Order: sequence, then C-alpha cells, then structure tokens
Amino acid sequence: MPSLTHGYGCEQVSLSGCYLVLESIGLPDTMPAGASRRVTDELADEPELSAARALLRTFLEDLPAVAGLVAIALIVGACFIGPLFYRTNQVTVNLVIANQAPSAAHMLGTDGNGYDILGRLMAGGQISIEVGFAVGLVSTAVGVIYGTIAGYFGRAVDAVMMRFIDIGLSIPTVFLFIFVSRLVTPSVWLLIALLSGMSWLVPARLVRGDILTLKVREYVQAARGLGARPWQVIVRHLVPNSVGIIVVNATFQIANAILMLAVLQFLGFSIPPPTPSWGTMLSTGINYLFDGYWWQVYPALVAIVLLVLAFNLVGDGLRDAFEVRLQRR
Amino acid sequence: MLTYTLRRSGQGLLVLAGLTVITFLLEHLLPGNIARSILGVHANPATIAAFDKQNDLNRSILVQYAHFVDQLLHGNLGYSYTQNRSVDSMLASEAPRDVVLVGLSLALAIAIAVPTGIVQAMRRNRLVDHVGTGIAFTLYSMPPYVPALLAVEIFSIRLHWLPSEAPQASTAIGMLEHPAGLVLPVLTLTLVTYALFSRYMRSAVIDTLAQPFMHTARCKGLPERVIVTRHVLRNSLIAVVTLTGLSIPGILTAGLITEEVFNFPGVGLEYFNAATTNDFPTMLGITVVIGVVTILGNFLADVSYAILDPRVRL
Repeated sequence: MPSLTHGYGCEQVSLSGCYLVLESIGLPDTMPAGASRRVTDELADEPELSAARALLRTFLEDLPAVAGLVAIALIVGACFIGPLFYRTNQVTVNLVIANQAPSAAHMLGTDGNGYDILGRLMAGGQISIEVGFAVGLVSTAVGVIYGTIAGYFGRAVDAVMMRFIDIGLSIPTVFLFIFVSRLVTPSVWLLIALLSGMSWLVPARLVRGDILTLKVREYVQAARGLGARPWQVIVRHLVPNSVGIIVVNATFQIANAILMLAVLQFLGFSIPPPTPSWGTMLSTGINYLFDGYWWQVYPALVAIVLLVLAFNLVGDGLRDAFEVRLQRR
Repeated sequence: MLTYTLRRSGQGLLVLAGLTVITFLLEHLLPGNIARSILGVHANPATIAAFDKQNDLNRSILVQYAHFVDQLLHGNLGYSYTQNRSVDSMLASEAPRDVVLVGLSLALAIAIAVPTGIVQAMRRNRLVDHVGTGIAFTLYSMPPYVPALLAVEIFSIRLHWLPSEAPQASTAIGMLEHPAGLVLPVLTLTLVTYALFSRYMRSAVIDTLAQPFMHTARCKGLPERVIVTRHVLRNSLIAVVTLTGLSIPGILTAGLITEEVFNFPGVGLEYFNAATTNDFPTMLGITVVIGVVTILGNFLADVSYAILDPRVRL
C-alpha cells in the first residue's frame, strides 16, 4: 500500500476516525498486519478467544509458573498481613530470650538480640518486596521510554542513546553501589533509585531491539500514512505489541532487584540495623552457624531463594505463554 | 577488522571516561565529608583541613578530576587513605590470587556447563533436561553466598572435611600449595558461574541442533559421536566465548562475595575492606580496573566470535 506511506489525506480527519478506519479494515493494534488476514480467517473458524484469555490459559497450564505465582502470593501475604496476627517486638533488644530455639512462643526461635525470627522475617520481607516491585516498575518504565525513543527514531539518535547503554552496562554495578552506599546512608527510596538506575539498561536494550523490528511493519506504515504522530504510533501500536517482552523482563527485573538487594544487605551496604532485612539476618546468623543455631540462618536463606525463584519461574512461564501466543498467530 | 578494532577501542575509551566521571563525581558530589569519614567524628577542624590539603580535597572538583586522570594516564591508580600503600602495589599483590580463583572456577564451570548443556539439549524435555534446568534455575535464583554457606555447613561443620577459610598465602603459587582451603571457594564460584552459563548453553545447543548442517550430517550417516564432537560441541564453544566475555561483571561480583565469605585474600576482599573503612582511592582504583577488564572482556568476546565463526563479519 504505497499511497498510505506518503502521509496524505488524514490531516483533516480526527485521529479516532483513523483508528476506526484501521480497525474496520481488520488491523486491531495488538496484531501484526502481515498475519492479519490469515488470523482473522482462522479466528472466524475457531471459537473466539481473546488474546489475554489465551495467554492466561497457556500460563495456567505451566505448573512451575503457577507454583511460583502461588509462592509469591503466599510470601507477600505473610509479610504484609502476617504481622497483624503474629505480633512481635522488633524494636527493643531483649537478651533474656536471645538465641532461643524454635518453640511455641517463638515459632522460628530468636536471634542474638532476642528478636523473634519469624516476625523479623516478615518485616524484612516487606522491604525486599517493596524494593523489588518498585525497581521492577521504575526500571521497566524508564527502559521502555528510553528504548522506544531510541528504536523509533533510529539513526543518530539510536547510536548516541545506545552508547550510553553500553557505558552503563560496562559499569560494575555492585561495586558502584557499595561505593555510593559508603557516601550516603541508604534509605528505601535511595535503594529503589540506585537499583533502578542500574537495572533499566537491559529493558531499554530489549525494547529498542523489538521496536526496531516492529516499526517497519505495515500497520505502522498505515498508521503513519493516516497521519498519526510519532507518540501516537508509539503508544497505540509499538508499545502494545512489545508488551510480551516488557512484562516478562519486568518479572525478571523484580527477581534481580530482590537478589541484588539481598547481596548488598548481606555485605552490610544497605539500610543500617536495626531495620530488619533478610540479607542482614543471614550475615549475622552465619556467625552462629558453628554453634548450631540453624534457625538463625535457614529461614532467611529459604525466604530469599524461594521469592527470587518464584519470580524467575513466573517470568519463565510468562515468556513461554507469550511465545505460544506469537506462534498461534 | 582493523577499523572495527579501532572503533571499538575508541568506544572503550569513551566508556572508560564515562566510568571515571561517574565514580569520581559520585565520590565528590554526594553529601558527606570524606575527611570526617576517615578521621572519625571526633576529628577537629584543623586535622580535617590538613587531611583535605594533603589529599587535594580543598581544590576544585575539576582540578581534582584532571589530576586523577593525569595520574591514571601515567598508570598511577591512587594512594590508599588507610593502608599506606598505592592501589597499584595492592593490585599487583592481590590480583594474581584472583586469577587463580576466577581462572579455576571459570574453567571448571565451562567444563560442567558445556557437556550438561549438550546433554540437556539433545534430551530436550526429558527427565535429564528437567532435572538440569531445575538445578541451574535454583542456583541462578540464589545470592552467590548461599552456595558458599551451604558448602561451609556441609563440608566444614558437619563433615570436617575441608577448612572454611581460604589459604592465607601471600602469592598465587602459595595458594596452590594448600589445595584443601581452595576447594570450597572454587566450588562456590564454579556453581555460581555454572548457573550463569548453563541456561544459555542449553539454548545455544538447541539452536545449533536446528541448523541445516545438522540434517546434512545426519543424512550423510555420520555416527552420533562424531556429530556431537565435531558439529555440536564446536558450535557451542562459540557461545561459551561470548558468554565468558559478557559474564565478567557477574563473575567478579560473585568473586567479591566468595572472597568475603571465605576470607580469600583477593581484589574483591580488598574492595570490601576498603568500603568498610571508607578508603575511597582504593575503591575508585578497583572500580576503574574492573571497568577496564569488563570492556576488554566484551571486546575480546566479539573479536574471538568473529575469528571462531567465519560467517560473522566485523
């Protein structure tokens, strides 16, 4: 359709009109135009199944992914709702009850300061979960914006913007983070900002790559031909079409953020004590490893691994689901 | 090839310049007084002023940066605030031991990841594959200190087989003379590196198996053994090279943690100690060196990729 690429004719028509036109000729914007006719024919034969429902169905068939999702729900629920029912003192040190083995009063025992381990696990988990989700959200948002701009405008813009990504990816992030944490005492907000500042590079690069392949599709040409502005093409057509990559990567970003936070907490470069955190619980707990106080090490260890593993499993399941959806087209 | 090398070197220098600017600016622009963090809260203004003067901290940031770059170009990475020795001499004594640790672990990880990747890909979606993926996935979801802790718990505390501390020899050769102490750090770093590699190895082999030349090899009747060694293995090794180049930051981070857990005297532990004592010149110097290693690693990965795979044109 060469006439469409020249951009005549649509200036007078309101844009919603343009999309009506697009939709009426069978180009709903979450579908690549190359396959549109074949797909619409197939859909006419099969019982109608919306993209989201098909995605959900594939995802739910993936047992490990569902297990991951359940684990996330349980851990999040336990950390945020648990403290309402299981009330513990996480503020004042009580050496009388220090280093107690698990009992009815302290279900997972107490640590060297007399803090209840289970209660501490919940409180520490809140930070890990908050930081994880926030970093996933912020780094994905920044990465998507950066990546779409670089990918859509291409050429010099792309070359310059991608060099910055290269610089960022060559920076030894954990080393830099430790560096910064010695200069300013980290707070939750600073942790989120710093971890996001290191994490957005990967989604930016992925999205940019995806946009590069999407922007030459016919439906993008059609939209441009009908007079859509760059941001309209990006928001209505390009980003919705790379939603798979974005969502999958966001899940992995959350896992990575929790993992990196656990590393920094363990090394002691995070929010200073007495604020509870899983990594700190572990690093103080290993001092008692030789004494056989296993309950000071393993709960936090299992919690970290379980939560990260759960997010990775969900991410993997989502990726498979999106891939199946792509293959079905 | 030559133009590519030149262009990449230029890019590398640009990246390095960016890295020094970022770290240097962070050190000097963030709130917090460097002198006070070294000398302690009870330091009086006179000692702080003397410290600032001695370390050029009272000059403007541009002058300080120019001085830093000038020194860097002359191969001088700075002078430690706390240890009374230059970062250069510290690296000269610590880095060889890291070569032992990282080199051994990397070699072992590749030796494990390549065959398991091939087996998993060839028995795709069978039990072996699922078990392999499960193990790698769990390892991948662990902070690097978790395998370290488990190894200490099992082999040092319960079984009393191996020491939980790395040998404290002053040279790399000296480390090798006490192999028992090296086992746990190397094992830990091997597992973490294996976790980084194995998922990519599997998919790289799966890609190789789908190539047309595999059909040709099968159709002309090559025995499976020859197919695996001559076609699958050689093509998968290309992936190993790229992966090694790209995983350098990850391996070094894992190395930092491994060294901290096992008190392994290396650059990572030195960085950790410098961080706990606010020894900024040492941290800055090590960050720059690790940046250089990362950039070089990426570059070498790309170049050797082109050498190993003639289809790739740089």
